[in-house]
Amino acid sequence: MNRRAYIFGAITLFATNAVAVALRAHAEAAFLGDYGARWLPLLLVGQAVGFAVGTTLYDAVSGRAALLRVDRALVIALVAAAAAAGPLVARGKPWPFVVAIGVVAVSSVVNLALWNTVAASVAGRDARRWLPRAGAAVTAGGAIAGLGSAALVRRASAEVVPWIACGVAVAVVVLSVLAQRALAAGGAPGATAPPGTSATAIGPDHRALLRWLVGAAVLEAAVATALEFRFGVAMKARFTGADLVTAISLFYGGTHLLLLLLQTTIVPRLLTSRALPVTVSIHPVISILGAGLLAAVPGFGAIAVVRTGDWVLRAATSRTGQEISLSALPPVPRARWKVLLRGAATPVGAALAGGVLYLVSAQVLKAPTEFAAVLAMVIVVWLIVVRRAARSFLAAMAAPLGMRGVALRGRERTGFDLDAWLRLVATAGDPDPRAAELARAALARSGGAADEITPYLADEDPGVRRALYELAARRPRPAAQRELRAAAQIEDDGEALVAALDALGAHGARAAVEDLAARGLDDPAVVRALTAARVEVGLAPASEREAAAAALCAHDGSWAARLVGATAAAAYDGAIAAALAAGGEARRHGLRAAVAGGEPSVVALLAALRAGDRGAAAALADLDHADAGPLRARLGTLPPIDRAAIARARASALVPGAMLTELAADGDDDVRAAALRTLVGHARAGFTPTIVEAAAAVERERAALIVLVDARPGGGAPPLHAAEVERAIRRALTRLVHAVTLATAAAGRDPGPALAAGRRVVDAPDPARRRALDVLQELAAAPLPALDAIERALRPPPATGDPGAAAAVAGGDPWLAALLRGEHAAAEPALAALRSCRFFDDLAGRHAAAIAADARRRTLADGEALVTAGELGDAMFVVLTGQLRLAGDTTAAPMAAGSVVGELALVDDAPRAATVVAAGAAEVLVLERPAFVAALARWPELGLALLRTLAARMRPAG
Amino acid sequence: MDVLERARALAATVVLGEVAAPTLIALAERAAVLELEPGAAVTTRRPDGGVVIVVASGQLDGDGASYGPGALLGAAGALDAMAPAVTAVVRDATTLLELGQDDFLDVLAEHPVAARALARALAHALREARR
Repeated sequence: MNRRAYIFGAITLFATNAVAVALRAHAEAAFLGDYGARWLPLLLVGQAVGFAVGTTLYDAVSGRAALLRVDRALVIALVAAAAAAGPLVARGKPWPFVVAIGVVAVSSVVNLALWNTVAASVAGRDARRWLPRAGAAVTAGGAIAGLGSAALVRRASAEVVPWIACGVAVAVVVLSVLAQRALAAGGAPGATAPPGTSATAIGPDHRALLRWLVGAAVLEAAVATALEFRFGVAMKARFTGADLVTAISLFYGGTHLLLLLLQTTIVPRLLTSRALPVTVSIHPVISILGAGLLAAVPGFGAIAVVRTGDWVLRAATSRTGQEISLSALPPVPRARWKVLLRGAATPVGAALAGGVLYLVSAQVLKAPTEFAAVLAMVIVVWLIVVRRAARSFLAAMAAPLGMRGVALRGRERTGFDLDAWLRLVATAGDPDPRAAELARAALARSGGAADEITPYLADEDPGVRRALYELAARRPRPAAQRELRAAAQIEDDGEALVAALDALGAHGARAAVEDLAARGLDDPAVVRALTAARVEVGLAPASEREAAAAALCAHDGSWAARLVGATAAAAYDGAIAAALAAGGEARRHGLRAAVAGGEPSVVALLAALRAGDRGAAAALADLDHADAGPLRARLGTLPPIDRAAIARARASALVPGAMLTELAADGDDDVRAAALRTLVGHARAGFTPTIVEAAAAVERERAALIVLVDARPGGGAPPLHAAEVERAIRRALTRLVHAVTLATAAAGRDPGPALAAGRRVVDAPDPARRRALDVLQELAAAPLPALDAIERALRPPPATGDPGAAAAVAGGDPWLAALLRGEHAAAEPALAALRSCRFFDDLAGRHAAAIAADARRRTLADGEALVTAGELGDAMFVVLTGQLRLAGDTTAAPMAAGSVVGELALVDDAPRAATVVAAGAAEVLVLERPAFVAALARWPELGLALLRTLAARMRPAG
Repeated sequence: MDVLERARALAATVVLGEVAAPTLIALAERAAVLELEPGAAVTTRRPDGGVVIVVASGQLDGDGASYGPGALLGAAGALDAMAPAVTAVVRDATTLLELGQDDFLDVLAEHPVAARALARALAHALREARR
């Protein structure tokens, strides 16, 4: 922002409004004293027309002459109006009428012109934060002028007021020149188009926004005029002579004081933390309540309160909302439409309402209830229009970010479709395992608790019955026991009966298990299940529990884990080891059983997970959160890499579970990042955290981000140190964005659009990131401190850092703290070499340093081949110095420092596609296949970087 | 198409084939269905933002390639804004699923198995392009 221009501009506005209010109070009091109530609508129409003519002239002249000269001429016209006001009003009719119109016209246009100077001195969230404060300066001027005029009238006379105003107007001339000079010297951030966008062109979204804003301005002015009329009549009936001047002055002073209070306290917070639809709805909603009050109590007190509220909210929320809405336009049309909205649309609304009131003024005064009812209807339309304008604002902001469709997407709410549900039930037993798996997942998402599915246990297909029993075991409900028992008694399919026993065990259906035990079943699988069910429901002694669970390890791992609970001992681990060694289905179940096993089982499970065994990932995903106890209890003893892997594996779970929430509060930032990412995925699928959990995550990540932002080293720091802090900030920003997305879901809003905006806050080029932050504010339920922290992270690093703040990093990232202290000096060259390649940009510094330490360097002579077409690839390379080129291809661009070479062969195991040779002396970093594959498995961000690298190679040549 | 059919169409792609069922169901719920007649044109770059297209049934032709059931169009565009958009014309009556680019990127970020499958597919496409 341009502070100097802002400060001078704000002081100028303060003085201008002081002049305007003093002159207006003086002239309007004289008018009310001289004219009847029927003239009041004509005054309101006259003021609207005067303002419209003034702004239209201003718009026309400012397009042809230098704006600075036009603005100065306007301020001089204000001085002239102030000087002429006193003598003219003293002449009597018709001069109070003329002066009341002229003063409003001139002062409003001056205010508008000078406001553009202030608006041009700030941009982005600075505008949201500082424009209301400039508004407060305007208001302070009005408050002082109103209250001061009232005092002057009492102590001296009403005639003194315009002369004092004239003196202040002279000061406005000087101040406005200083403000414009400061703007010319320091630049105008709010009047500059972001790079890559036009300063003038407006598109369909902008046009839609303008249409709604014009509608809103017309309706708002119509409502204000109607209230103004009722208020003016009430004032005239209640006060006369000097009392009338005092009352009007006090009214202006009081309302400005109230407005000032709001503008200095609530409004900046509101604008920087709430979405625009909320802000712009406040005024109409409270106006509807005001209309209700007028209908119920149609006296002076009610109209004074309602009119004051309208006046205050118009400036506090509606005007600032309009200002923010216009910020979606390119700078040139933005300035022009600001003038046209206030100088044309608003007067049109006021003139229309004034004309109608002139025709029906007698009826309005006789029928206050009907007046309030009509007013309420107009306000409802106004409310709809302002919300549509806010939506158009969002569209216009989101479109350049490529997320217009995402931002405007409503949250889909589909009703329950019984036919579709029955199709899912039928498909749950499909012989195609993938189809059955999908159907079960869909059933689980659409409810699928035991009591909902038991009515369908009479299905003829045993596969369907088995699937339903399995679902019932996962989501037990006491109400389902009776139907489960009845279905199990007549179950004649062996596999379905095993699943039925699983469900009965999960329900603790003792009587039902007893029934089945009495049937004398002899199928070994059924007997095994019956034994387990008897233990689970308490028909067999607890001492048999571990043996029964061990027997299930190779056949139903989930049930085994549930059955053994926290009592696993050597026999259970032995059975798991045997199942894992057996391979196939037994191994799959063994991995599921291992989640409740002792240390050897958990170690085996995590080793399989690290090796990329999908069965291990599936076991952790299938882990019902009720069974998570044994593994959760061990979380603290596991290394961060395993905790992060568990968090990632839970991405495929049906429900997130409490363990994931616990991991999201982990002390290691990698683990938190993985857990938050997974929780976001679940939130998008409809499983949201509680508001308290989400708020805790936001606060945790906000604090982590701020520590890093404060630790930014100054300009003298080694570039690698500064870059590593920026990378850490970026990762912390990603976590905070994910936490904010969770908070959005917890608040009942669609987290998808907020996540999309957050992605752009992190990844987009610099100017677009700030715009994305504006959009994020619109779409997310984010607390103000979180938005402020993000804004701070987006600012450029300071010229000088705080060495003390760097020490605070040690708590969250000891490696980074050690780097900043210079303790990794020996490893820095290798790390810097690796970081020259964007491929490794998203990787945490400590991991990048580990990769760099393991990689070796290779020097190439001019023309020496690095890789040869047709050979099998066993490494990828990062060019450190010099250049490489494709052999025999003179058209391809050379591969310079930072380029990645040879990764294709590691991705698809195919032979090298081309021969790459050194173009002059060159040096490369060599990453061997095992290290590359292990890194991809450990740090998924590398996988995404790999994808981006491959996709970038698909760009058209040139 | 109900959600299960949509999920099955997504699962028929190489990239999403091994993604876990709950994720595919959630993604299928967000996918838009387009039923197109022969001659209709589709593109992965829209004024509202980019999309990734999955061919559920039918056939399309474009950029010298033919796309049938299980084809995934626009993945590179989701990863790289400068990658070319895919434009194709419907040959037979076709049903398509449209995923927002952000939805698709979320799946890649949450499911390394999908990212690996896409990496293999992109590597294959690059090799083909170089031939």
